[in-house]
Amino acid sequence: MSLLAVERIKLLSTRSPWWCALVALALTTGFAALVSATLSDASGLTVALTQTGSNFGLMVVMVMAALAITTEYRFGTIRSTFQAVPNRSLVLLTKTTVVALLAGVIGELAAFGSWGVAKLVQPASDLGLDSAAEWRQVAGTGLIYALAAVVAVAVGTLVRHSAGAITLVLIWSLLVEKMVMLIPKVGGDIYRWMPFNMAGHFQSSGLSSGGDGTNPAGDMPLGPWASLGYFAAFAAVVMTVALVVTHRRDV
Amino acid sequence: MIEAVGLTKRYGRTVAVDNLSFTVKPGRVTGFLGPNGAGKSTTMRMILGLDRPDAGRVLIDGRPYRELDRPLRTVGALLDAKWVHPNRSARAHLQWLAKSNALPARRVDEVLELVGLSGVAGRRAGGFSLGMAQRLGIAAALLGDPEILLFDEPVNGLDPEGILWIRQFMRRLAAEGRTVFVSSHLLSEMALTAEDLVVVGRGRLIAQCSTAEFVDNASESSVRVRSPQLDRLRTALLHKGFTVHTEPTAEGNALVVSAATSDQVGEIAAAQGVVLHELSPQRGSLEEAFMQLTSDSVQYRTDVSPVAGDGAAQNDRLVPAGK
Amino acid sequence: MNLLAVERIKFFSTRSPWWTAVTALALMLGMSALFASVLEPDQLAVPATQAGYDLALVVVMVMATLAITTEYRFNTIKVAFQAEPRRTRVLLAKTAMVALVAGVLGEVAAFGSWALAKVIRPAADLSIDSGTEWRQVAGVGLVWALGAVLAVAVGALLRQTAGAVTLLLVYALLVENLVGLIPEVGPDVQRWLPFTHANHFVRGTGGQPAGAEVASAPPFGPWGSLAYFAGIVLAVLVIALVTANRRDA
Repeated sequence: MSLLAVERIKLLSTRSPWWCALVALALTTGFAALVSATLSDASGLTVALTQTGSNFGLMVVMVMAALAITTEYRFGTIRSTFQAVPNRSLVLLTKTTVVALLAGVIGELAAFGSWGVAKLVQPASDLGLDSAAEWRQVAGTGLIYALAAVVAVAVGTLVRHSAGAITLVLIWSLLVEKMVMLIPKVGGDIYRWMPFNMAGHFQSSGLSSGGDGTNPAGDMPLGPWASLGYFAAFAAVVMTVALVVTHRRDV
Repeated sequence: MIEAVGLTKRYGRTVAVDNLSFTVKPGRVTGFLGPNGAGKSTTMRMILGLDRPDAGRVLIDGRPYRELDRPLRTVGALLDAKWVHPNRSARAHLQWLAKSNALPARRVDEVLELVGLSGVAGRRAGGFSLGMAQRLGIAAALLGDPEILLFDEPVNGLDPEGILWIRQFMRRLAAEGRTVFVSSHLLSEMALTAEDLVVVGRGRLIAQCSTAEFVDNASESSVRVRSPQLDRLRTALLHKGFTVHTEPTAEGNALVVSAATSDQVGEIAAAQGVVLHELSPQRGSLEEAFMQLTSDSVQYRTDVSPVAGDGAAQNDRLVPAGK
Repeated sequence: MNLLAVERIKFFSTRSPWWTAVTALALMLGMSALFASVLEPDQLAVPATQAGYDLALVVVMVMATLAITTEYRFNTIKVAFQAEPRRTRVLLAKTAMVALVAGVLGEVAAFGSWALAKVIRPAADLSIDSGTEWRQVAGVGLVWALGAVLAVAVGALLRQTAGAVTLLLVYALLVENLVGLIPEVGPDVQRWLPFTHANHFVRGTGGQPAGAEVASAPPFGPWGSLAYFAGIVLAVLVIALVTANRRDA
């Protein structure tokens, strides 16, 4: 438990997590406000539409998570950390837990914040969370943010370099997965199994409008909860690789 | 010649440099003395045009730094030895600097030779020890063969060998007729190298004078006297209004007369017909002079003396003014 | 001229430019090789050889950002401004140097990708005949150079690697796409966003960037789009120069 406290102190005593959290919330709720304010007809506003800015928050949260570990390498504090607790896996897992928890909280705040802002801007709209799909879309955001943070911490641990890690996670999630679709013949099949596409499917499956409501790859192979499981498994694999590599190499 | 007039720099609510005016004359080593956080580095950055003063100005040979053409030929500076890209070789670091002021490429090898880094010129600067980094910084400062040199805390963190090397190097530069402006919080170091001093505390000028003058003016001079008729002498001195205290020594008790000269004490003794075994003027050290002058200018106070009923004063202790 | 030489020495005496340049080149060539091997010769056309252009552009922008933010991180910018107090000159020389490298790299990558595809599929018709095809290949270097200028400017403004890289990537890859989703006004706004125009210049109206929502018809032709992109890049650069001159190094 004391390790959790250590990592909590480390994370929250620097400025970048606060900045990132603030930016993530501002971008998601701001975009929801923008989207709902530009709609002239309140009935056009759906729960899915309020969550279109979700990816903004996701990217910022991943940057926050990557920085949580790469700054330790940059400032050499990782040495003091491993000196204080030689069990490196334990240290990294604790850090991952704390970062993922914070990411999850940011996700819930961002999602319900966006939904609430939209309701405020268009009071006449029907934004009741009636179906399971709508609940999943809003409340599921925290789960996706948390798992994506795990991926980012793992990548940061492997790359040990802020610019490199940020570039990698952003390019991968925003561009590479979609570019796979461009590959003739097999592209679509591969894209269906891409982790961030699976994450998106978990959030938006069963909803028609907004975001990636209709998956450009066509029918997804798994249902929403299985997709979440797939994304979680992906995060676990990357994390395991990071743990093994960290265990083997010199600090 | 460096002239600062009314230099002021604020960071938020903190005044780092407060209406600071001083002159650094050519052909001498001038020490820039003050405790940590007194505004020395900020002043150096303003001299080099890196930070903009909020008020006042600083001129190099009559011109602001930003108007100098090829400034490295006029002013060389070492503000921080770590201002190097860690993955760049020492030679590459000097090469780009030389190129920027149209200095010949051979000058790079000359200064590397001068500071004794020729053997490691191809190694990445990030792997240098502090002493080596400091030498690289000095090499960079000397690139343009400038008449004016600025060094910010050049001996900080160096081992004795490195300190000796830098000390000799600065004396050599001064002997060549250059103007050397060197900051330090190490007073003993200044006493050894600087002829003139600019003393600051909390961003304000405390004194500008020669090192000897600074000590003379600032420290209270006292006289130590020993005599077989010590009681008579003490009575006479007290009668004349001097402050006296007794100091035990190996040769029996001595008197220390504060704020007096040996002439005054000698004359009083003669008038009383007192035999003297010792009459020696006691000069304060630079440290004492410095402590006395800057005692209320130290930014980071460590004297924990809470004032009863005064919450504000309590909060002040140990709290840095911050940057 | 000296200042350009200075920036050349600085740029090539550290490792990150080499890493990023090699990565960008490899991505371009790799995508081209992938497309050439998967597509039948009769389907393979010139645009497919440049499929990796926007992916590699992102890497080039990271390279350009690092060229300026590492100067701030390691404080060498202070040494540079000490050696040349006219900051505009220092920053313009760096911008020119980085843009030049990005441009040359872009041409090498574009023609290299094209040649690689030709080697893999000699039977495919990959001749560069029309003005459009020339633009699709040779235009890559122009867009990379302008993208690099934008990245240097943003880096000079933020002075911080993580922030600048995040801003550039999230903007280029996400913001411009999501703007299109704003109801009613979205597509109209998207028509005027800079990277939409950069893509329009290289790919023309037919080829939208990967995964992008289809925007409304662009307001200019391809060359007008390039000029528009350049205009926005220059505006950001001017803001960066003014800011750098005003604040403490």
